[in-house]
Amino acid sequence: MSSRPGHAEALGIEFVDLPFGCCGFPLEPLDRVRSLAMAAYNLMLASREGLDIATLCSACAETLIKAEWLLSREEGLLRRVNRVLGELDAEYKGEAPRVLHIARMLHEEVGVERIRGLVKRPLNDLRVAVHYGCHYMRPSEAYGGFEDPERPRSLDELVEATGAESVEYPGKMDCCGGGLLAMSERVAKEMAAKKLRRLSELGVDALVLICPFCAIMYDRYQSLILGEGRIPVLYYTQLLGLALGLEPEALGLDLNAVAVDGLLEKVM
Amino acid sequence: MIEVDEIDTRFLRRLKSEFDESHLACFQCGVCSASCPVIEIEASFNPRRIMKMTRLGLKSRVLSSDYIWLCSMCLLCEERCPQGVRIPEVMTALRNLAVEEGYIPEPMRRIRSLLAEGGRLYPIDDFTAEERIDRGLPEVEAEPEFVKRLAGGVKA
Amino acid sequence: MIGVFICRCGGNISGTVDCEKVRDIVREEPDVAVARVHSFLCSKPGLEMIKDAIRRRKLSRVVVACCSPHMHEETFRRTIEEAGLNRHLLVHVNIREQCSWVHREGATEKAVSLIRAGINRARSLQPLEELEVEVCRDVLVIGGGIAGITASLQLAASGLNVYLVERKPSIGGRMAQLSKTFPTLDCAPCILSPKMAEVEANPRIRVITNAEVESVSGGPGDFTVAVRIRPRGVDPERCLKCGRCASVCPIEVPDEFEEGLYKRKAIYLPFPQAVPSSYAIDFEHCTRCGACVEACPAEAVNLDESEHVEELRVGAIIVATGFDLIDLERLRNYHPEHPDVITSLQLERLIERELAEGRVLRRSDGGRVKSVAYILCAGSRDPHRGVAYCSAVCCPYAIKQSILLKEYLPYLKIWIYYTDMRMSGRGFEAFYAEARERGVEFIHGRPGEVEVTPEGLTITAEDIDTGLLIRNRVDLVVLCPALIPSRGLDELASKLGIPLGEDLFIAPRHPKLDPISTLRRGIYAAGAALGPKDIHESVVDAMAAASKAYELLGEGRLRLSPYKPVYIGGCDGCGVCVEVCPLDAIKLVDGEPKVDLVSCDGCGACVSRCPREALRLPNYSVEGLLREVEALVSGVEEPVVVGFFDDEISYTAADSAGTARLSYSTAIRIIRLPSTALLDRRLLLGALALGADGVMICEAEGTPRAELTARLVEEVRGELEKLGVEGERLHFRPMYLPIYKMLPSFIDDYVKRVRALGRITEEARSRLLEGIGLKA
Repeated sequence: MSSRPGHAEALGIEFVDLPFGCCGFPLEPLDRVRSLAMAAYNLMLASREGLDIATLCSACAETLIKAEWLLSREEGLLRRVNRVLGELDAEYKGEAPRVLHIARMLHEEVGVERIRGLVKRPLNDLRVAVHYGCHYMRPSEAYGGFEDPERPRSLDELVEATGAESVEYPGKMDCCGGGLLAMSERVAKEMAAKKLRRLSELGVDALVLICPFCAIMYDRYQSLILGEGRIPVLYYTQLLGLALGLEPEALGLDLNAVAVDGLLEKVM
Repeated sequence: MIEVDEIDTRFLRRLKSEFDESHLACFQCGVCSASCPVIEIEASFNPRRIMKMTRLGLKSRVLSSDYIWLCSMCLLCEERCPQGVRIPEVMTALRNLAVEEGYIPEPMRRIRSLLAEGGRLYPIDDFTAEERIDRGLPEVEAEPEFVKRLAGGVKA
Repeated sequence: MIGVFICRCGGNISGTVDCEKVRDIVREEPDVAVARVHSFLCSKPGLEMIKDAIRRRKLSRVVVACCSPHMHEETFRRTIEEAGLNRHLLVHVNIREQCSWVHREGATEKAVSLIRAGINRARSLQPLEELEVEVCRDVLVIGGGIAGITASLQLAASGLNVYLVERKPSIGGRMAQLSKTFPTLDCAPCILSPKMAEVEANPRIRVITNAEVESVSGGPGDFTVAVRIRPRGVDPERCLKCGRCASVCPIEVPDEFEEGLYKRKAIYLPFPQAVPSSYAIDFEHCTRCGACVEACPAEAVNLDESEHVEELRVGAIIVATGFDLIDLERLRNYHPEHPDVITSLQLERLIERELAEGRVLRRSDGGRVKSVAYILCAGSRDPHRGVAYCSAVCCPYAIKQSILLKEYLPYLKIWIYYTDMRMSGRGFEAFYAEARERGVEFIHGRPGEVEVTPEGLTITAEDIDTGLLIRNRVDLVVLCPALIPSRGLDELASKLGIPLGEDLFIAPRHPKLDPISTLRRGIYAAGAALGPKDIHESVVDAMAAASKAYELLGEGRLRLSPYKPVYIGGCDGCGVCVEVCPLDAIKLVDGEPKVDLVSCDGCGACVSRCPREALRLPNYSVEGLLREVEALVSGVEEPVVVGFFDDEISYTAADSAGTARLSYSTAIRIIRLPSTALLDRRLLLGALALGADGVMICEAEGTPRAELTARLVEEVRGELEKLGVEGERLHFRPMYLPIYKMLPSFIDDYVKRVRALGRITEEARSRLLEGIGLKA
């Protein structure tokens, strides 16, 4: 999401760009060892700089955290991963930088109270549905149980900090289907449709999510699924940016597939 | 009909030693299928049944199937499994073993070649590159080399 | 002349130990007159063989090599006694649990070493006379549920006096909360109330409610138990149960008897059939406004009553503390906090309170319940979010409740979601069939979720039998929570000095053959304190526990183990023995140590710590034990470890590891001690001097003995280092029973470390020998 530089300033976070590449998630079904090697390589990049990793994608967060977790417990697997990394003259020695999804970072490191204090444009009139997706807090074992895997709260709290209302709705914890988009577009769309249909009945101002894969399903595919774009879909930082008083253009809202004009009118 | 000759214990041993032994604890309670977001749309995907067929060692039946590719990896079943079976890990194992046997769905081949040839699942085209500059975002490596090389080594 | 008898145990031993080869080797040992092998040594022909050999060959000592002494030591002692030998001239060598079951390779060689050590031990044994003392014939029963009630009545009927201590203000326990019982549909209060009344009327039983055990001292036949009694606030002798107090009481709180579904006042009658049959004050919530005092026509209320501690003297204790339900908080996917998602125990109360009036109402909006879904195994068989075990009673009670519901409300749609139906009791299968015939639907499949939707509660499951998903909308969801040990059992168990199992219920002395005795003599358990049990099983347990207590106390005299410290002269009155005794069982009287034989459990701390060597523990001399060690370690090439294990916990853990067929290195050879407090520096240094390369000492974790031993090991390690031997050669490992599965890895890890150190050199061994003033 391009809603980044303005926030960093407002929240006092310094982001450093590293030459990261694919986390390995898409490769897992084909070759788990190589997928882990990819994750390990990314971990080593951050560790070399002594930096934590912030991810915008839930699957990236999960893949990296799970790699740390698995490779610290399974010696055999570590050996196989290092055999692969040998091709790049690299060796993973258990580097374990902190890996934080951006939402978790905002929740744990910045804190809901501080965010509330920084809000310049309270979004009090907005009723939004939050979508956690799957990989943000699962598997809870690898994540050390930082969130309730059944009924998480952190994203609701982050949304509430902007002044918006986070509505409870059936299917809140549904999977977007994105993981199946490549294998079966039909099944993936049908999965995404479940939530979109429910939300269009519910009539919310926006769906707020924290994973680009979910965004593909709910934003890019929305008009295909519902016949038209009805529900604006915001990445959380876009919503936060609005609340922090940033200009819509700076938040990349013009790049959203479903038009957000109605929502902006309500907010501005 | 399952003929006893169909049962392949070597496959089970490999699954256990290289991937996952948690599936041995499965007692077929069905909480995975009950929690699965895919099965209600695509009934051929039934994680509980896949666990059972795997346990029985029905190697070629399972590995040549389409359904092992239909898990969306939502991980909810793993969270709820009372016996600690890491069902998604088993799915990954079955898929990896299927790949070894040459059962590779076309979309998976495509993913591999995207990563092996261009280093990205979503290539940075000119439009994106320009957008990034316009919006004050730093340049990124168009084709990360390590991704290309690691993905290039996947036998497919 | 020594006789050695080796058991094949029907293949259990001979499967890995070549018994004939062992016999041929040990037959050659000096003093061995007879060595024989039998397929079942503990069978009648086996025992006859031993007796016959004793008589014909004039044996003076007997060594049996078979299962764990915890199984059959008593059998063999009795046998040699019958043949005219003193019962303590027996050595019981464990070549099953700690040899054939845990080793594949090398079991035969290890068996030989173990038996040789046994032969050496046999040589040093002296005949001992049993001790007899007077005992207190009163019994304490802890917990006033159906198990405690039954045990109390049974004991009283046998002529013993009973203190029945209950934490709540009334006895009755869980059974009092139930509607009817399975599978006969007897009305639970109707069959329980007469028993409660009998308890109240029985002059041999004193019921002490609002009370909990504070501390326990003494031993079998003579326990002193301090009981903390919280005030009741109402004199049961005066209370008329008129209820005027409650009607004026301004405080309302959720009623625990009603599982929080209804309210009660701060002064209340626990339930109509309560015993003592009297109101009580809940001082946690009472504001002492005094309204009840005013209202009471009998002057029974006393707001100033205070808590006090009473000391009881009893000869035996029965623990019948029952169960609690697991907190369902972690099963978030079932929305346990929703008002229409209730527990099965709450439904028992609804059946009692509402069903008789022909309806069951939704808690959320008062609407009529037309459909009910049971979710079995809520927290059971789910080690990740609950407990690993099956709670045993849920399948039958879910069927019972659904039959009751169907009887009153035939239109109700009832769904029972199960993982496996377990209906193995007598009459249960017919009960299951009846439920099906009455139209109760059984869905084979654990639900994934109970969703709260605007239309109501939605349950999704896979119906495994059809392989189809089933989505159901119901008015009421009944969760069947796992049964867990009653809150506070862990604390009570540590006060009583009895270990718990892996599941945190009380560990039985033997799961099959002594299922209601705890590991401490004189303390028994009954009912759900031992694991999930139904009423029938709890009652059987209670009768058995009462019978065991009677066996101990009935005659008023108690036979005690003769393994108690004996004063042999030379005391200078330093008082170390008094200081170290964990049980206050030794005193100085007229400048000499005097042992209270009942309280003393023979741990040997006073013996090992006496600087004047003025006490000894019969048949456990340092010299004798060292001779055992010598035999254990002789003839081995590789580094070898001697284990000193306390009998009660560590040795039992090693047996359990054997029963579970776990395996570990043959390099360890375990010596069973009454407790490791018996160890002193001479034994530890001596073991290393005589050929051991490492000594592993295991003792019950968190006990005073463990502290004593840990300190000793620390000291002797220092001495070792000074003598140029690695301190690591002594290793102390506190044990507790639930982690017996880890014992093999503890052993293997230590053996690995000792292997890395290699063998102790001969020069070092002779330095050690000098260090303790012994010659080779």
